[in-house]
Amino acid sequence: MRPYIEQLKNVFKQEITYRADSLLNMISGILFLLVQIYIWRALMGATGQVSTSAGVIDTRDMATYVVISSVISVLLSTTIFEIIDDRIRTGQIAMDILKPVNFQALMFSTTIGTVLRRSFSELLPVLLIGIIFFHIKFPSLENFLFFLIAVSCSVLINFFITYGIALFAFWYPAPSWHWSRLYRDLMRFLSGSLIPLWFFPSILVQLSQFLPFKHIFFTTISIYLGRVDRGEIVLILLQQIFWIVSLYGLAELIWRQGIRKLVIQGG
Amino acid sequence: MVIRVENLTKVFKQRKGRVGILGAFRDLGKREYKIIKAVDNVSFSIREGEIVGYIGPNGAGKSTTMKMLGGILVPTSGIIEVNGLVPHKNRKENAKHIGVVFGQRTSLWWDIPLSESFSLQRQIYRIPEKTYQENMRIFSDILDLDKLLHAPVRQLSLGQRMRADIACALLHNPSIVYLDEPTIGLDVVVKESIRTFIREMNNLRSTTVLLATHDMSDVEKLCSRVIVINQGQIMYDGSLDKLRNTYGNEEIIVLQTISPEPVELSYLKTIGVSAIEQNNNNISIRYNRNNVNSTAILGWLMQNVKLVDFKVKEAQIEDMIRVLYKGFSNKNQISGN
Repeated sequence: MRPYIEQLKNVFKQEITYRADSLLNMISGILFLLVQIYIWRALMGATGQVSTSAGVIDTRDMATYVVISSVISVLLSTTIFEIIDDRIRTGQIAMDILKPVNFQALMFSTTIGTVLRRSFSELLPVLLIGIIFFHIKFPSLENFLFFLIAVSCSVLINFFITYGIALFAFWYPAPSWHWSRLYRDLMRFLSGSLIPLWFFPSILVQLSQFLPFKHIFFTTISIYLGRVDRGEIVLILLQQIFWIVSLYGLAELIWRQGIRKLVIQGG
Repeated sequence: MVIRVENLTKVFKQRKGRVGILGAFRDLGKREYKIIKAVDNVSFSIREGEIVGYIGPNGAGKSTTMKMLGGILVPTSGIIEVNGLVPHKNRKENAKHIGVVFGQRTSLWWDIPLSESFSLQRQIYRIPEKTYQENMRIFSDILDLDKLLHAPVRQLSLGQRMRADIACALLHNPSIVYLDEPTIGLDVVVKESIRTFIREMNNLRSTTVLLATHDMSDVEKLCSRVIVINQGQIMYDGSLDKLRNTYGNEEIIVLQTISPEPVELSYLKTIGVSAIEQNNNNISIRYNRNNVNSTAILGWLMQNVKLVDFKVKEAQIEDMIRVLYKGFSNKNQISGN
């Protein structure tokens, strides 16, 4: 455990040195939050509410949805895609596997280091603005605890997908950022991070059943909002665990194949 | 024997890109590959506490061998044993007992103080507190690290960073250290402190060192034994002294003539000179002391050519190595043991 905690601390300290970066991220995070909230207000019009497949939603629900979605966005921050892509292409990965540590665990602690750092500069401001200016709703204690578990699962699902995609670099001579971009955009859309699945046409709702994305944002936020009952919560958590295990296995498989290629072909 | 390598061979398949637009299209279909033998039937063993210089031109197979020894490259055929382990089958276990420095890479954290990289290293290798403190004291003494510890690594000069990188790689008292061009691009003072450090670690802890380098003064100052490799094959394995005695008999006479007109020198070839280069007023004559002596050459020159100046230069290690690189095919591979 100790090497990974040390790694986490180093990432935290390293990210602290990027002050301008944090400040700009904070400002753009707040701006994006305001833009979304006012768009939803405008869309909902004078009545301030709209009926959906999940019942009546009012502007306060939507403000809460947007704020919690922004909070989760920060919790999904990770720099591992760039790190891994760069390390594989430059051959630096050889130095990493020459150490008696687990690379995946090292990357996970890197992610947690980043998340902790950004929680201060980006998560807190958004949450405070949400509470003070938009009076966001609070969940019951029980739902809040379930939400914490679900959100941890979101982080893991996002981590394993990002990690797996980053490993494509083993087979890909050019920078593979477009893969990560494709994933991020697709995930943003299908996960309900911008538009809740309540407003999706049924075909997209059907499609999202077979993908892990909605468990990163939509279902997690639904738990926070109390839009799902106890039984549904358990089902969501089980599905999240299913995705974590599958994606972990897949990422591990890609890693092994990648390393096999590296040690046989020399990268 | 801490390192045993037998008939080690590594073959790479390299894609051949075809030339031109048509070629690029054809590459989309069936690709052509070129087989490259990076390491070709190499055998050697290294005893505990030896410092062995591993030398050869760029692309000779030095790094490939080191990567196989480190376990991050699987040999095509042959046997490798490091501390009784097969590196690529026990990569993590092997990693605990080795230290690796690639001069072109760094494993230090760029934006935070150097000391943080050291503490991560300490946790990764589970270095006991006492060993860590002791090493930090010794390392700081030799490599002068004290002033660097609190600076972010990006602010260090290349020499400072290299010193830090080497210290970091040896922090866990590895029994074997692979150094791939650790002094590349460094000034004389830093080179000297790194050499002192390697020698001290070797004295103190009997650390076995395999040192790949292009810098012959590294070899002269550290290694009692050298392995010369070229095109994947070992050309020489033995003591530095023997290398010097066998191939160190090359000398060069450099002359300056009065007139820039070419001079007829073919007579010198008949008495055993191996190469003559003429460039305006400058002539350089290369010969082996075993075949002809300098007085014979100079005597003839004094009589037949108007000279301004001359110099006789003894062969440097570089010259010996060049002779080896050029003069040996795999058939007359020799052993100096």
